[in-house]
Formats: sequence, C-alpha cells, structure tokens
Amino acid sequence: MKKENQQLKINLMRLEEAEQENKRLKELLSFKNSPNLNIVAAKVIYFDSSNFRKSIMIDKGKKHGIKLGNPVITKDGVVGMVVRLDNFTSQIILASDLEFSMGAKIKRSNAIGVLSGSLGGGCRLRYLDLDEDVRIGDEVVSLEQNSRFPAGIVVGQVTEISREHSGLTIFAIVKPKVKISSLQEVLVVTNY
Amino acid sequence: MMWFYIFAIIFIFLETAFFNHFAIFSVRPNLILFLVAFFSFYFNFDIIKVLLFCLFCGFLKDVFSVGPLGTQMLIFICLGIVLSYVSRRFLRYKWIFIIPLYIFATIGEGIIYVLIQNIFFERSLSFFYMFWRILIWEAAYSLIIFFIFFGPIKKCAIDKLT
Repeated sequence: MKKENQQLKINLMRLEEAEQENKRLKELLSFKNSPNLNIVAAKVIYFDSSNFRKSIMIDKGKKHGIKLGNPVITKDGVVGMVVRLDNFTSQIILASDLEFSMGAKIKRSNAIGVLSGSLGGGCRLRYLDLDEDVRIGDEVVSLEQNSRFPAGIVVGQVTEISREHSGLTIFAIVKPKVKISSLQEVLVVTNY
Repeated sequence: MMWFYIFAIIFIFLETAFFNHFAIFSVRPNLILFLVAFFSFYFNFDIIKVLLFCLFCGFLKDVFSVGPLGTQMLIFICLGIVLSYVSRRFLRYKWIFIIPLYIFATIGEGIIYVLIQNIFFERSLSFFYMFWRILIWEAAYSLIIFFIFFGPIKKCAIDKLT
C-alpha cells in the first residue's frame, strides 16, 4: 500500500512537470508561428560555470540549421546570440554578458543606443544623446535597422540613468525582461 | 586524493546545472575555487600534484564556460602555486584559516581574471566594480554552501589524508 502510494505520488509529480512543460512549449509555439520568422526551438543544457561570464549551452546546432550570430529569444524577449557552434549543440552569450552588443532603442521616445552587457550581469543602453527623452521604466526594444535581431523584440526596462565618464552622452541601465535563472527553452531565429 | 577529483566533477555539475536556479544577484557559489584553495593550502602535497589538480579544475571550468580556453587553468595554477608556497609558512591544519583563505582565493581569482582580460584581450575591466558586484557575494555564498559539503569532503578525502 505504501509503495503504491509512493508510486502514485511520483506519477503525480511527473504529470505536473509535464503539464508545466506543455504550457511553456505552447507559449513558445504561439511565438514560433509568427510570420516571417524561421525559428528553431531548443532546450537549455547548462549554464556558464563562471560568474564573470553569462552564457548557456543549447541542444540544437549546425544540423538543425543554426548559424553563428543567430539571435536567440523567448516569448518574453531577447536572450542572446549564438557564438559557438557544433553539429548538435550551440553556445549562446546572453544579453547581460560583457561581450554582447546590439542596436536598441527606447520604445516610447525612439532614442537609439547600443545595448551591451556588463560584468555585473545587467545591460546598458549606451551612447544616448544628452537631450534624449529617457525615463526610468521605459521599455527597450531591438532596432529596426539592426541586422542581428528582428525589429521590436523586447529587451527590458530602464532602471537607472547616468552620464558617461566623458560627459558627452548618457547611458541607461536596463533590467533584462527574460529571467535567466528560470530559462529552460529558447527560440533561435535562423532567418527573418 | 582521488576523492578531490570526484568532488571537483560533482561541483562543476552543481555549479552549471543546479545553483543557477538559486543565484543571488546573478552570482553562484564557486565551489571549485574552494576545492583548489583547500587542496593547495591544507595538505603538504608535492607542487606537481597541486599543479595537476589546479589544471584539472581549471580545465573543467573552462570547458563549461564561454571564455577563452585556458583562462581558468591559468588562474587556478597561479593560485595553487601561491597558496602551496604560503602554506609552508603557516600552520596548515588550523581550520580557522578557511575563511580568510577563501576570501584571499576569491580576491586573487578576481585580480588575475582582470589582469588576463585587460592585458591579453584589451578590455578595461575594473577590479573594484567586480569586487563589489560579484566577488563579495561569491565569497559569502560559497562559504555557506561549502560548509554543507564540508562533512562529506572531510569524511571521504581529508580524514584519509591527515
């Protein structure tokens, strides 16, 4: 009786897990069906071992049509970019990694800047003109003219605004919308 | 001694697959660094054994990281050499040294990382920014987690060596 009870509990846990996975995949699928986007869905295998770098490994690679530099997103927004490629796996640097950069803009005011990662794990929207209209809470999205990412993909929200050391431009600290710690599935955009 | 290698493999899997879900300010514990510091400092091992272990741990870290292969190996080798040299001038079996030892190793790791990045990759990383944003949290988090694993490590590895 005890054994049966335990077995039932395990089955219930598995079902709950499967239900959650199903929900996540359905959400991803709705995004995957967007027109003009060729997308490959992939699972996250592991995260970077170093606290100084932010990267993930996914279970899809060259054989699945992924190329170097392909953008990686989720339904919430930008995740990062493919930097290393194997036949069946790819390594992605996250938007918060210090080597990452992309063109981005403030959605409300169209102020254009360069989004890059930082050592601490957040993002910075840099090289904004001093007179640009940037406010805390503004949404940052990818640029139309940007060749790396499809236009209008959400990156995150402005949490702080400061002046650069040079004093000639300002930068905004952006909190990425995608929660990295709970990242399990991602979408690699192979063509758009 | 083989147990230290086994713990290194266990720790790398924990760091890359488990602790990411429990990151504090996007920082995870660096248990491998603890193992390297511990191995180099507390046992009167031959320098070759220390270097081999540091190389192995550095290799594990490098394989699971997007950074250039060899960065962590170099960091761990430098730390291993310094710590095994320093350990000859201290009382090795005083466990009171664990906390300052780990803080020293964490700061050392940060300094060497910044030097490697700034000299070889022409970046302009700031050690002080890294210290307040990453290293201080990494040290505190690792110390807490390491004490959880200290029991099994002591039983499997330390008791057999001392």
